[in-house]
Amino acid sequence: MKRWLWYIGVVAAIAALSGKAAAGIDVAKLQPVQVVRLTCPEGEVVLETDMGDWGMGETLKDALKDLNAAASREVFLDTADYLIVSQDCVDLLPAMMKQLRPSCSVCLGEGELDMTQVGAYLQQHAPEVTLMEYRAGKHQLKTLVMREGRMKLVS
Amino acid sequence: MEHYTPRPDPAYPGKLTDENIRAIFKGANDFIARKLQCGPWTLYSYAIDGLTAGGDTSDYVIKPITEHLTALSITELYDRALHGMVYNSVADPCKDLDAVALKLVNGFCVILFPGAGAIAFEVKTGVNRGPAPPEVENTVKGSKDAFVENVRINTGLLRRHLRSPDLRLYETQVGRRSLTNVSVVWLEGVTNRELVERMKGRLNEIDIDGFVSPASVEEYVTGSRATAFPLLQYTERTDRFCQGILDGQVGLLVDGLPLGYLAPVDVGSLMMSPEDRGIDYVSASCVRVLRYAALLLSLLLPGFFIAMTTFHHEMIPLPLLRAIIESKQSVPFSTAVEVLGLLIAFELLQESGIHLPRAIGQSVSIIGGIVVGTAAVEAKLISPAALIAVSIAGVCGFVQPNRDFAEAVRVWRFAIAALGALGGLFGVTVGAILLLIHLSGLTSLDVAYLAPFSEGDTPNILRGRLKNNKHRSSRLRPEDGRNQR
Repeated sequence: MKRWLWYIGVVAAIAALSGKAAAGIDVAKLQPVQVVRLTCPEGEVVLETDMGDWGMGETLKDALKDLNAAASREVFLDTADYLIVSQDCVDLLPAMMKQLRPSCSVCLGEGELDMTQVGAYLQQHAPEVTLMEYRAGKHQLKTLVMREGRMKLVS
Repeated sequence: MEHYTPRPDPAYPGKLTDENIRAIFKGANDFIARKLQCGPWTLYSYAIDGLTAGGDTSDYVIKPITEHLTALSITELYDRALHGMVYNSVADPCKDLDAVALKLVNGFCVILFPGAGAIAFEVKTGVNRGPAPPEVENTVKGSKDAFVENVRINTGLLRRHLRSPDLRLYETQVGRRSLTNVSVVWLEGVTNRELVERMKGRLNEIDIDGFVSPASVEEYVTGSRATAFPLLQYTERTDRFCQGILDGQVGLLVDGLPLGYLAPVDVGSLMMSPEDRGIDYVSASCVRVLRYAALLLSLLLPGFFIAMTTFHHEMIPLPLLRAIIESKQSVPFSTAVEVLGLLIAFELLQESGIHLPRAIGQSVSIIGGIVVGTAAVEAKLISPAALIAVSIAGVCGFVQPNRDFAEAVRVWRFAIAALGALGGLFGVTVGAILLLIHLSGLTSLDVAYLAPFSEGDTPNILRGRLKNNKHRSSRLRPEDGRNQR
C-alpha cells in the first residue's frame, strides 16, 4: 500500500509541478483551420482563415490576438496545411513560421480568393514549397490567382 | 486484541468409540449410525446421507459383514474385513477419530470394530455433474471434457489425457472447517522437484477456515500479492492442463471448483489460447500478434484518446480532427469525463450481464449497449468518437484468453486513462512505466512474470512449428528439457 501511495504521489507531484493538467484544451473548443491567408493592405496586417474567421492589427501579433478574440472557438493554427501570403507580406513569413507547422505549404496569393474553396483546390494542386524549405532558401513561390472565375496556381 | 487460535492437533481427541464418533456429528440429522450384529460381536456402521450410496452400502458393506463375516476374535474379524471379506475396492483403516471424521465427510462408510479399530469403505454416491464442454475456453477442435467439481472425476479425466504412469498426485486437505481436498499434480521426471515442493509447502502453510472459493485458492497459494494480475493460471480444459503439466508446470486441483490451476505463470503463457494448438502455426502466429496488439489497444487506447484530444491536437490528422470536433458539437462534457464515464458504463454493463440469468443478461447487454449508447449519442450526451474509442478498447479486452488477465488490464486501463487526462501523453507514459515496473516485480513460484521478455529468452509471441519446438521452456527448469527427438 505504501508503495502505491508513493507511486501516486510521484505522479501527482509531477503533474502538478508541470501544470499540465491546467494546460489542456478539450478538442471541442478548437477551431481547426486548413488555409491561412496573410495580407497587408494599407500597412495593416490581416489574417484570414478558411473557417471565416479573420483578425487585423498593426503587427502580426496584434492580428493573431484579434483573430483569436473574434473567433467563436480557439483558432488552432497547427492544423493549417496551406499558407497564402501576399507579395507585400513576404517579410512576415519568418514570424509566421513560428505559428504554423514546418510542413505547411506556402504560396503567394493575388486578388480576391474564395477562402472556402481554396482548401479543396490546394489539396489537388499543392504548392511545392513548404515553410521548412522556404527557411532553407527555396524562395520560388507559386502564385494563386483567380482567372475567369477559376483558381489557378501559376509560377 | 486479536487472538490466534492454534490449529488443534488432533482435531478430535479421544479414543475410537461409538460415543466419541456420535459426539462429533451430534446434531447433524444426515449422520446415520446403526448397530450391526456380526455373530457374537456388535459392530457399528456410520455414514452421511447424501454423500454415500445407500444401495452400495447395503450390498457391499453391511450385507457381507452381517451374512458372511466370521472370526474367532474381534481382531481377526477386523483383519478379515480389511483384507477382502467385505466386497469393496477401497478399505482404509482409520487409526483415530480424525481419520474417521475425514472419511465420513468424504463419502465413506465407516465400520467400527470396538477394541480393534475402524475401517472406511468407499461407497460414494454417483450423483455428480458429468464432464461437459467448457463454458469459456471454447475451441472448435479441442476436447469437450471440462473439469467438474469432483476432484476425483477430474483426476480421472487427467489420467485419460495423460496416461503416463509417471503422473503423480499429492492429496491433502486445506481449510480447518471446509477440509477441502486438494491435489497437486506433476509429472515425475519432467516437473522440477523444487516447484512441486514449493507448491506443497504453500498449501501446508495455509491455515484458514474455508478453502472453497477461487479467490481463496488464488490468493493464499500465491501469497496474496498486491496485484490485480493473476499469478496462477486457471483453466477449465483438461487438455490445456495436461499440456501445462507436460511443459513442466505444477498443477493444482481443488475439490468443489471446476477448474485446474497451473503454476508458475508468466505473461507469455497467459496470452496463449487453447485454440493456438488447434490450428496451424501460421494462423496461430497471426492471431497471437493480433492478440498482443489488442492488449495494447485495450490498455492504452482510452488514455491515448484523452491525451491526444486534450493536449496533443496537432498529432491528430486534420480530417480526423475535424470529424472528432464535429462529433463533439453540443456535447456538454469534456473528453476525459466522457471516456471515463463510458468506461464505467461499460463495466456496469458487463457486471449486470454476469449476475443476471443468462436470458435476461443477454437482453440487458444488448439494450444497454445499443439502445442506451445510441440514445446517449443522439441526445448529445456523449460523442460517437469517444464511444468508438471505448468500445474498441472494450472489445480488444475480450480478445484476451485469460479472463483474470483481462480484468487486470481493465483496472489499469482506468488508471492510465486518468493519468492521460491529467498529463497527456506524458501521463500515459508514466502510467505505462508504472505498469512495467509493477509487472517486472511480480513472480509466480519464483519465475519472473515478464520472463518471456527478459533474460535473453526469445519471446514466444509467434507459435513455431511443433517439430521445431524440441525443448521445454528453461524458465520452468524442467528435469527433462527435451520433449521430442
